[in-house]
Amino acid sequence: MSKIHFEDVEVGDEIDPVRQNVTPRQLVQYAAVSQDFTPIHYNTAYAQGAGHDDIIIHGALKTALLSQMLADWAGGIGALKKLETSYRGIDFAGEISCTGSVTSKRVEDGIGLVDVDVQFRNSEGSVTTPGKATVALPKRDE
Amino acid sequence: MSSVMTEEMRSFIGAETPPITYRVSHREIARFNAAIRGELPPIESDPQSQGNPPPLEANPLILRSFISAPFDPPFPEPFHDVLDGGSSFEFIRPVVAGDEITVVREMQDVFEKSGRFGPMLFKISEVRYRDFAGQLVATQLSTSISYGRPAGSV
Repeated sequence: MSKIHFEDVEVGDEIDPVRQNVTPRQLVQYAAVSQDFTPIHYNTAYAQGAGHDDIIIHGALKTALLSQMLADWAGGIGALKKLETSYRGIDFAGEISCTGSVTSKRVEDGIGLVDVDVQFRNSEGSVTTPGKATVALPKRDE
Repeated sequence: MSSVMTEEMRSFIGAETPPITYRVSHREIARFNAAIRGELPPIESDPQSQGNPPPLEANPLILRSFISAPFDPPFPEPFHDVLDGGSSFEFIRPVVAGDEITVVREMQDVFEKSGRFGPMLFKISEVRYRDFAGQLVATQLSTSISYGRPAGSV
């Protein structure tokens, strides 16, 4: 895992994307660890009864995947300070990706802060969950 | 279409749930982090039972698994089905093994809209996560949307 510092980042930089095949097993695993046992996330008949085509990915799992992308990018020395997501589309189990890019950077109270736009994308690459995040990155002299 | 909103629902605006406290284990963090990465959880005994476990930081969304207690009295939910409308987190510090996290949810708004599934009830709430010393670890502003089948019908 590379270590990235505040000085290394420029506006427009792309965050290393995450691509993952979200399987029904992962949704069951996530239901167990998150205590979200809503059946639309693992019971196909139930999900269809609720008007969906298939079981759907937990919204909080999508946010967690975006946060993991940012944590991996920050290389274990940065810290996620803010993350806002808006669930504008329903995602079914399958291939997904998380992307992001730096929109601004600033120093507040001596702390280097980087603002990032993030996107959760379905298998067709369409953005279903946009978001905004702020990551604190250490400066080289720290 | 008749409204599902009631004065009783509106009366919950400003109400807080009773506090509930969770102790965070090394094993729980390992399982949560594995679930996010789509990996099978490690099969191992809990390092916390073996003296000095290595420090382990949780994916910050582990906070979502620390569910707030129900409102007392309970919110009069009209629908059975629930969707997560989105969240805004502010993280003050990471969650690590050994933390004790106390959770309180405050209802900030309740309103109704009509959508593709018919009438939908939106609940906006702020969840506050505090550590053993009472210091804020994180806050979450969340939107919950209930819709569809009547409560108790499934």
